[in-house]
Formats: sequence, C-alpha cells, structure tokens
Amino acid sequence: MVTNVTNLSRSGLYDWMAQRVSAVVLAAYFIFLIGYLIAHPGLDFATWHALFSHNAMRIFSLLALVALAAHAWVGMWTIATDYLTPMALGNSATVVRFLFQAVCGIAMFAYFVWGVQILWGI
Amino acid sequence: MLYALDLSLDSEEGFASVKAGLTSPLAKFVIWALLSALLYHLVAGVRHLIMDTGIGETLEGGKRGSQIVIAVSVVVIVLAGVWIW
Repeated sequence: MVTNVTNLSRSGLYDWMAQRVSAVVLAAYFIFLIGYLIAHPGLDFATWHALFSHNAMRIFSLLALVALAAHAWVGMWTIATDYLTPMALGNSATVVRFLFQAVCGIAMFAYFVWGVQILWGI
Repeated sequence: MLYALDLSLDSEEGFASVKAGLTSPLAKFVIWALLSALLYHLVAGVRHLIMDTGIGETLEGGKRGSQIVIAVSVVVIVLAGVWIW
C-alpha cells in the first residue's frame, strides 16, 4: 500500500500538473521582471514604487508567490523522497525526511507571509 | 531578495540603500550567481516542458536536448554577467 502523505495533494498527477503550471507562471513573472529591469536602466524609486502600486502587479506578484510555494514544495518533496531514503540513511530516513520537509514547509510559509506583507504593506 | 524588495519599496532612502548595496563587487557576484542558477533552471525547465509534449524523449533527442540546454544556458548566463557588470 503506497502511503504518500507528505506530497502536496492526494495524487501524484495533481502534483505533476501543479508543478508544471506553477513553473509557467514563475517563468512568465521572472521574464517580465527581468524585461522590466532591462527596459528601465535608470530605475528610480518613483517608477519602481509605482510598478508595485498597480493592483495588476500586486496580484501577479502574489500569484507568483503562491506558485513559488507550490513549485518549491513539490520540488523539495521530489528531492527528499529521492535522496533521503532508507537505502541512504537506514531506518532513520523517515524522520530525517519528515524534518527536512517540515523545515522547507515552514521556511516557504514564512517567505509567503513576508511577501504578502510587503506587497500589501506599501 | 525579499529583504531588498521590502527595503526598496519602503522609501526613497531605502531604495537608495539597496541600490548602493548592489554596487559592491561581492553583491554583484552573489546576484550573478543566483541569476545564473535561476537561468539554468529556467532553460532546463523549458526543456522539460517541451519533453512533456513528447519531443526529444528518445536517447538521441534527450542527448541533443541536454546539449542545447547547456549551450543556451551558457550564453544567457554570460549575457547576465555582462548586464550586471
């Protein structure tokens, strides 16, 4: 019986899809941001602040943040379940893997909350 | 990164301090390293998305795909270096 409890959703396929969708969102956000920075060489505070004052940018940033959380969770889960295995660590593998994922989860949640606070704190 | 974003959006002084902070060679190197890792991840990610459509899944296709990813990544990373410095 396969007991997968630490992945993002109940099915592997959903995780697989979530990672692809979040990847596309993140790619779009990153390319937009890099393009914006390249297009505004002499960036000053006013334009930078204005960019993040548009609700569209805030929503896009929040979407990217959520996508990052999902993408990172699935990514780190994949790495953890590949490498932190009984073969590698013996019978303490499960504990080590659980702690590793818990730390990743907490860190990701902290970044998410911090990001939301930044976006809506302006 | 989040800290820099927070500071840069806070105020004119915050923005200035972030800007000043990014001019030091060490900061530039760190930014470039982070950017390189992300660019490689992006390029390899795009390749995976392509492979999801079934293209480049044969042994030869996979090999060629990897070579393309490395080539594209090197080019983009060098460009990022030029842009940062």
